[in-house]
Amino acid sequence: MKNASKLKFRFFAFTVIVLGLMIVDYHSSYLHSLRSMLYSGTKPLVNVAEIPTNVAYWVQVVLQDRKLLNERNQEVEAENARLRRKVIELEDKALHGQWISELLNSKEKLNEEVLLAKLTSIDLNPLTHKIVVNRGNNEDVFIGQPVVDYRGVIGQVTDTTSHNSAVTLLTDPNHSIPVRIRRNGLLAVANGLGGSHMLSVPNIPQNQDIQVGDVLITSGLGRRFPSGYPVATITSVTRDKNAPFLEVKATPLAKIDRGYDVLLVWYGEGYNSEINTEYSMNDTGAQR
Amino acid sequence: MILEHNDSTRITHVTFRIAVSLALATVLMLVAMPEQLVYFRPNFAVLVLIYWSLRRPQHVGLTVAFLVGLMLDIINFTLIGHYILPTIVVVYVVVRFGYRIRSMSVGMQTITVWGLLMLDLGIFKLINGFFYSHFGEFFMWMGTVTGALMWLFLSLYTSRKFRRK
Repeated sequence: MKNASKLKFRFFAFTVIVLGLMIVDYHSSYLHSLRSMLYSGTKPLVNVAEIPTNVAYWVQVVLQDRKLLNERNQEVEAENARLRRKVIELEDKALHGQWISELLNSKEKLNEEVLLAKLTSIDLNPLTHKIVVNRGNNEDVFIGQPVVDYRGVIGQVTDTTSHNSAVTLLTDPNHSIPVRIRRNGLLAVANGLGGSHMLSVPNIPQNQDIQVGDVLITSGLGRRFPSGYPVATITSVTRDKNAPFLEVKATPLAKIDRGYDVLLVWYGEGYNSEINTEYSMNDTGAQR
Repeated sequence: MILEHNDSTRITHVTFRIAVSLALATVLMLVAMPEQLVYFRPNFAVLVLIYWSLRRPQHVGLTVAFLVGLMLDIINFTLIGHYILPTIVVVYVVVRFGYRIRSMSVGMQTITVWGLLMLDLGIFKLINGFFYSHFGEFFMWMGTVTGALMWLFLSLYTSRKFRRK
């Protein structure tokens, strides 16, 4: 019986400690350095967990037909030539735009600094809606940093360690991103919907012009995401005459493919102020 | 699970086995899987902790549970405590009522383990609901079923192996 009461006491003590840790971690950033330190200790396990996916990827590459690879290479090169020509064309326009924005004394930067990062091939708990990339504090990654790929916005950095950071996806139920419709500039906010990999666009009045297939781009409001990046396409618009607003659903354009690179963009509040330590999921402009 | 009471106490050997099995369980929780299968993945670490705290309660108790939970929190970038709390609750229940669980039949034991896995996930979801106001997808419960089935097959397999000896 003595053992049982000792066990009960230990359990009680542990529970109190854990509750304390959770509250401290939720409301402050005191434990961030501890997490960063301990993360390097767990790194071997993460590396081992990556092996199966990397081997599968490697085998796929090796087994792929040489002809197929050649074809793919030609395709990519043709695409590259086409895009280069477009860049030359756009650079001229950008210069023009810069000149105009300087005239108008606008602070908006045209070229954001970016850094390539690789997705680590591990799955985190599906409840967290996070992915891990292989860049961290050592590369000056900051909390709140926008993450994009060539298709569109992926999400924002919410945790950093020295060599890795966690990116919260757009589909996280606590994530919101300010957007506008590319076709007509209608401003809106897109909220994550969790497991369904969809976004909801609330508060669109019944009389607004919004259609299936419209592309949502970042509006730049909230100063967290740079303006003009593609976010999602509208996949359904439900009109209910009794409801004050339309029910609008959208699918993100970015895909979470392992082995592909993502881009970290140097933009936003966290970049301008030194370190955005007071970050929490509920108190920023870009969050719900 | 069949328990061997006449094991010689080679402590380092046992500690090594415990550490390796827990590391392996953690790796299994991280390996990337097709999206459709993600929800069927059980909490392997808790499953292994249940096994060891049933079999070696003198080695695996609340402290080990705390450390494993902390490790999972660090790797998953969850709130520190999010994994720890459910893990120590489950291990507490197992250590406290281990004498009863050990004497159960395989079927009853499987149901108990299923209950423990659901307790684990339930607390995990409740914490998420408390701090982030959403409970995650319903399909996450499928993981507890897979975990219980794994327990059932492994105990049937080991009990048959020991009977043959």
